[in-house]
Amino acid sequence: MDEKEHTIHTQATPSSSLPLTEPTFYILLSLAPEKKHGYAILKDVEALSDGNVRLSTSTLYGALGRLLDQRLIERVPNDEEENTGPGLPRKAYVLSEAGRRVLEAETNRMRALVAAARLRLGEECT
Amino acid sequence: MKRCAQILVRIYARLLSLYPRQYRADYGEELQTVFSLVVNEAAQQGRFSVIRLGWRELRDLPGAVIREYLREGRKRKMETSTITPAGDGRSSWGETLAGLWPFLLGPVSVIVEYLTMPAWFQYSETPKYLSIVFVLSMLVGLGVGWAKGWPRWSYPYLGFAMVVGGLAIGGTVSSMVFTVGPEWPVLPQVLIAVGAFGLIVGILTLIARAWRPLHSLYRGIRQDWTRLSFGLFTGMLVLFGGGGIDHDEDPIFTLNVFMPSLIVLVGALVYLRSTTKVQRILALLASLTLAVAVRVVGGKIFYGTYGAVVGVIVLIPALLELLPRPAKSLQAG
Repeated sequence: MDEKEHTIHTQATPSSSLPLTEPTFYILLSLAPEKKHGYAILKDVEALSDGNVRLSTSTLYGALGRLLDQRLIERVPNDEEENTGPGLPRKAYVLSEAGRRVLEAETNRMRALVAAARLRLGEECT
Repeated sequence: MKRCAQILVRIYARLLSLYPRQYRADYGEELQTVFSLVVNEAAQQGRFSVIRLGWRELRDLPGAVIREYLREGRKRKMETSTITPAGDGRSSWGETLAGLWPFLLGPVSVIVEYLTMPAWFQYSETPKYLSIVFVLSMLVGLGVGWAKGWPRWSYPYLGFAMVVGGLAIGGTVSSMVFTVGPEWPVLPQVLIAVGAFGLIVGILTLIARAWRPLHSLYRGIRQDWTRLSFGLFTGMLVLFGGGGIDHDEDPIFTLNVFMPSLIVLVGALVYLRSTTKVQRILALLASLTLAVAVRVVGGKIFYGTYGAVVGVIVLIPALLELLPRPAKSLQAG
């Protein structure tokens, strides 16, 4: 599918997209360093979550479709040598600027949660 | 194990046909490729990995398919709302036929009944299979109308459900209040029926406003109030005895009984093919007046009273269109 076919978008702002679901967060995180095809995302999400999040193909592509609609990621040709080859997907996904902002906002949100929890649990311990 | 993986890949390819066509065109090949890679990897790890993978895919598939249909529906609705100016535009012939179907069913049922009934059997109830066709048509129309975001043609289906609901509640209340018999006071009964009907329309509007899955219905009515009038216009079918069936008449199939239903049908046709709201209001008003007039001239004076009551109820929403609108509500539409 050509990226131009995505004519109907709902541009997400960082605050309107939060909180992210766990699979969505891991997918965005997986795409943070470089573009990846679907299979690579599946494997990376599994690795990032220590095997706790194993996505089915339908869940993965459902999430990718929503992220494309929100313009948090983009779909590009999978043309890099190490990613191409027989039996590999011909499309890859890359994090957009908006996606990076949402990912950072979610990370900050979680950091604040963890800080609050540490503070309170630390107080109770002492 | 390799053969097992191949079978799974083949089953998966078949299951992909459950997704919407556009989704399959966009992602089908990619889904299949990724699944093949995943299943081959699981096959190398052993039987349990393959079973776990198969279970995970099967468990997630129904929800994913439903979500994709909903997403596609939302996209189509947004595309339509950006292409079609608020409340305007002529219905296509396919949509027109779908919108006319409730109005067609009555006359068709009379013709079928007339042609299939033995000559000596002049008084009959509508055949059961026609009732089943009618109810099924209404349910299908409501379902498709909902799925497509309540286009103009779907309002007669909704209107018919409201009319039947209003009559059921009004009839129940009337039978609780008044004694059974031919001497029932007419005016209070009419008022109860109108009250029950108004209650249903009000409740539906509030639900449509508050409940997200019905927001498109609420938006559609706000954009073009004549749609609600068009829905209520199906009340004329009930007024004229289910589209031309009048068991007080002998014989049941006369032009006098049949004409008002045909006029209502033509009114609905003109409504669906019109391009402006004024044309739509005129189509409803003219057909309402003419249909009732034919019946009154034909000797049934009481249709004048009922017709006036039904006509006012039908036309009230459409007349709201003639009031000046605040700029905000126009933009919201």
